[in-house]
Amino acid sequence: MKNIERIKYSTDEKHTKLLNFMRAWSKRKQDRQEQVWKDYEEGKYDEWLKKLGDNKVNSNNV
Amino acid sequence: MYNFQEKKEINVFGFKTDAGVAYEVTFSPMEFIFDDENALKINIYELSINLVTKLEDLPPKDEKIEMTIVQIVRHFFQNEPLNFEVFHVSNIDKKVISRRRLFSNWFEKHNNDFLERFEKIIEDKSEIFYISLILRTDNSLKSDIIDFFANWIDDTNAIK
Repeated sequence: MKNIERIKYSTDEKHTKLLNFMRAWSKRKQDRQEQVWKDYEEGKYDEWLKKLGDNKVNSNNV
Repeated sequence: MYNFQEKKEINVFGFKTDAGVAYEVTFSPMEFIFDDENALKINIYELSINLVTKLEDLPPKDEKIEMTIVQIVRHFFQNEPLNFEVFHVSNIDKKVISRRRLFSNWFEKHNNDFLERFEKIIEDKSEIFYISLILRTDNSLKSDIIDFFANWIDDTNAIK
């Protein structure tokens, strides 16, 4: 396949199903981001955030 | 680039910027997209990038963020050469075109040919969606994976 493929608008059933799938996927991503912020506000990330400051993983070795 | 932390068992990575903004980069199994018998199902992951710190405004521009995210993606593939990722650019806030451009630029700028990317652009009258397939250039399942991505609209469970 080409590196970029464009699927243009169509009225056929397959395209409609694809769009519905993509909308549901977008919604799922949005829900995940909202959940992250909710967890952040509730302090569920506090310990993890402290560790992020430690820089224990030396990413220069990757 | 920022140093990052890895929660290995769940494929979650995190880092914090000089401005104190934290990011989470996750690789979630996405096997539900395949039929049960499809051998590729154990290798597909969805890449997500979430802002952990809730901000009133956009986070400050910082080139080290993009370098770190691309490095995390490369790190994920170092030990899992057969894996491939699907990255979906969300259109939740109408900034989908700029978000897609940003991700493409990051990838081109920092990838160094270790990974390869394919993209589908799906258009509606008033919406546009982008999906990227990312895999190692030397992935031995490459032809099967690309074939899957080329035909996934016909082949996947999710859209039937």
